[in-house]
Amino acid sequence: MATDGSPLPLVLDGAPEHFRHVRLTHAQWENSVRDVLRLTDVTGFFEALAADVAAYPYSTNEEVLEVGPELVVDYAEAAEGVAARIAADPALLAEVYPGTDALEFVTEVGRRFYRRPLTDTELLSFQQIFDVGAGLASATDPWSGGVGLVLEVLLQSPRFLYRIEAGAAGERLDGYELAMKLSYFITNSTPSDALLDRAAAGELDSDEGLRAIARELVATASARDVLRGFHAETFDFARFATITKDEALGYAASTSAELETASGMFFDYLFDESLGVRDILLSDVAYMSESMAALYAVDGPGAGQFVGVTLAGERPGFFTQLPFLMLHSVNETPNPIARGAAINYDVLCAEVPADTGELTFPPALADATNRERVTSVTSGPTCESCHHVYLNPLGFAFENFDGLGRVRAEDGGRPVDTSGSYPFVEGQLDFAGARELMSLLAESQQAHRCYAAHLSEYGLAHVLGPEEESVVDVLATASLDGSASLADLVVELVMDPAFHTRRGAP
Amino acid sequence: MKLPIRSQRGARVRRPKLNRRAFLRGSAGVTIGLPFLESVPERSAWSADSAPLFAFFIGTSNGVVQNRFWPSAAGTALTDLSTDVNAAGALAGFEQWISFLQGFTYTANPTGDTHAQSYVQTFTGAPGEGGGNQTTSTAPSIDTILAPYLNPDGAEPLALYAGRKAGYIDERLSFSAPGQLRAAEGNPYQVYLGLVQAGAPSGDSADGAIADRIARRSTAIDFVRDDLSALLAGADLGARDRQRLELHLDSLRELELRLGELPEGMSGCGTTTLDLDAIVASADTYRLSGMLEHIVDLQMQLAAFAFACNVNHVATLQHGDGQDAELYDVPSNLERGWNFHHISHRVQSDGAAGMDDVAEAAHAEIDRLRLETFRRGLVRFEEYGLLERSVIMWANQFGDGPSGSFRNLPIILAGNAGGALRTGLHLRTEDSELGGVLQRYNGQLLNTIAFALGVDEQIGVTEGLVDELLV
Repeated sequence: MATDGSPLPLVLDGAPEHFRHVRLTHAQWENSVRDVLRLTDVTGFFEALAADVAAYPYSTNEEVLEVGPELVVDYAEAAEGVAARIAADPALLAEVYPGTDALEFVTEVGRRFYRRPLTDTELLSFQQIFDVGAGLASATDPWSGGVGLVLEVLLQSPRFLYRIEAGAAGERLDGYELAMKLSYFITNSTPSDALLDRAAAGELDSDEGLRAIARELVATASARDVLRGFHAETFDFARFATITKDEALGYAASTSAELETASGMFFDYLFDESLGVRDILLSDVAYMSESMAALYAVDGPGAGQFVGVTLAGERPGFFTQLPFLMLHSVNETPNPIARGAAINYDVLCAEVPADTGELTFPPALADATNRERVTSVTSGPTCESCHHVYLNPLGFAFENFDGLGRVRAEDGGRPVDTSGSYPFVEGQLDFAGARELMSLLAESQQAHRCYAAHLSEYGLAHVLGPEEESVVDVLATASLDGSASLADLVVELVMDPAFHTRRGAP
Repeated sequence: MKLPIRSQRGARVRRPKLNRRAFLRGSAGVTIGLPFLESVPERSAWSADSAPLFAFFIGTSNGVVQNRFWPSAAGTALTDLSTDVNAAGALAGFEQWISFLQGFTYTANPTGDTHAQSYVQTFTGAPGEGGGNQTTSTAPSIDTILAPYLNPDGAEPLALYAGRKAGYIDERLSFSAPGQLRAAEGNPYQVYLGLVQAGAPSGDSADGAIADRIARRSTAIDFVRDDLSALLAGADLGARDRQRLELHLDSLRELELRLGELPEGMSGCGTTTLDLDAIVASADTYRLSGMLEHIVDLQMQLAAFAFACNVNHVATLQHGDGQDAELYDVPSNLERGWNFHHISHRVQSDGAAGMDDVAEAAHAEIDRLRLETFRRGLVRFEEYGLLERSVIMWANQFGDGPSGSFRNLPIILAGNAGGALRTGLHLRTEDSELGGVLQRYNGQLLNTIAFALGVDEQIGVTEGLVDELLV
């Protein structure tokens, strides 16, 4: 598909459909089960839940989070398994609720599941369910029988399975809804009892209170995990597991997992150090295993260990590190098209027109560099208007890194050419190589808006529509002009009306 | 040049399809894959040396058109029915398994409203008492007498129903004792759930874990259904949010089907499949005219299922309410649209009777239609191999419609009760003095059925057997 070579700005053309009932992701379900039942670890039942259709762009996307016939059975079986486990273990049962009063039990535990106090009608209903469970012949004793059945039902309740925003559209979410939305966004789990108490006390009803609580949540280890997960989805960590290379190159099956771990640690580092989007692009710290350190040509950790190393200036940011470079390559040969595409789509949100299908890597040409052969096979009216303008230039910037991510100065005995030019939204800009490209991106409004859009799509759990330009602008400005940290951006998103206002029906 | 699919940001993931089982909602209702019978092993539910016997009693309403009901051929041996234009022709193919029995009457003569009077006698063999639609029995019905003998675990017989309820006369067939009417279940889905629950082998698990599991899951399903319904009733719900909740609600059906996964003790039910899709779709039970024969189909399937799965060996089924006003779209009724009760009276009145050829033609067509329904049920029994272990009695409350006669009651038997009953008969003892068919009390027939099933009990008020039926 031909283009005119003009910039490709961020396009917000989403039309999200569900705001009032968005099902928990499986990870949220598992974390919530752990937390409402006060377990020390996740149950593992989420692995048996029917997988969702791959969500675009994030696993949190409302579009796919529904309950179909397969999942409804899986939820039931998981609920039965979890409840049976709790009911059969007095110690676990005591953690859920230490007393012996059925009404108090459904009041306390029901609030954790529903993320709000139960109504009198709901309490009565659960008391009746408790009585049914207490009377079952298979119950070890009436108490465990009643508790078990109540838990079984609560675990299948739509009020637990969905994040529900039921009030009037256009108004600020109420305290409990905000507690729920905050908690799932920032900690990927259900709000704690303490947070529900603060919601009840009205602390979330003011912007000051909301900001304070968001800041507290974003300082937790759970928030770091969430940010790691967000970046893993944004930059496709899952694809590391698909990397295969010739054994002769020394690429072991374990390397893929190491790449994922190292990538996660890099984003943890940014989070821990209160760093921001610029640092994703410019940080000179890379995490590595022993085998990765060899490719980086630095002293690494011992076997089975990872370490953060400050690298020489050739490797600014995540996209000059091994994981990105090895993913987008074939054996030792870089794949500039894939590298360029990733920067376009994931860093600049440039919607380069594309045919569908898998990449067919161009065959080698005699006496040609990798850049030359890629340029050759992407020439012609059908290809070059995209490849030569948007894809190849950004990919060629990384030609000084081979397919294993090692620095190289030559390709086929000739010096590598990493220069290029790209039509940014800010204008056509030239760069000599990856370092200059990363510097351009770090100061590019287009890159910061793209990151802002990613984070918003993840946090708001839907594809952004044109009415959400504002939140993107706010976050991009905070990132570009205010050098906001990743955690700060999370808080800024929470403080935006796009987050704390009830959307209602589309 | 192609690009990696992942990076095609323009592409949108479409909403997921229901991916494991076909779950199609269309004009015909909900269709759901069968969850358990696909894997039922091909073996009998009972061992050959302790094969049980089964009894099934079906009562229908409003009489028949006598001269267009019985087999046309002369003689007492049932011959090929395939070309018979009478209603009997609907049972072609089952000649070796059935008998048409003419010449039976109730003990008490009709007075006042005969619909209730007749039904209470159909399977009790004893007069009713009380007036009008309040008439009740003076004896237990045969199903409750047989059940202690035929159900080794002492289970009460199934009481099934098809048709409108809360009408003038509802179920009136099964009595546990004089005047003790047993409620009949008109919702096939509830029948199914009950069968599965009853089939849970509590004896195999001392703590009743399977039955409890069903109870627990039923509790959860009921709760979730109510909760989803409440959410659906919420204000300002967009169409897509509504669809999402409705999908969840519909998906509970899958869980309900799993609820019916056969417990181990029920795993020998043969290879015939229940029409479980339709049974689940019938969860709202009889609602409209036009559903009646379908509900009867399902109830007969379930009776056969209960027998084959060794859950229950005795059942009754009332086919239509006490004065059945079903609207049948048989050819002779298409233009008029009379209800069946009026057709049977030959006049559009619940209280009067008349003479009307078109209504009579329609009644004959309904007779045939109903025997076609009966035949479909027999097919299920045959597929389960039950006909050689069963007695199935099909009876109508009246001899004919306009008069509401208690004479010459339309009765068909199917099955040979383990070889004790003769089949392939058209029993009609001509009585020259009476100028017609010799009339015997239906209680004698009920006695005979009990006897053939090994139960030496008198049913109702009449002594004696119908010897011609016994091997």
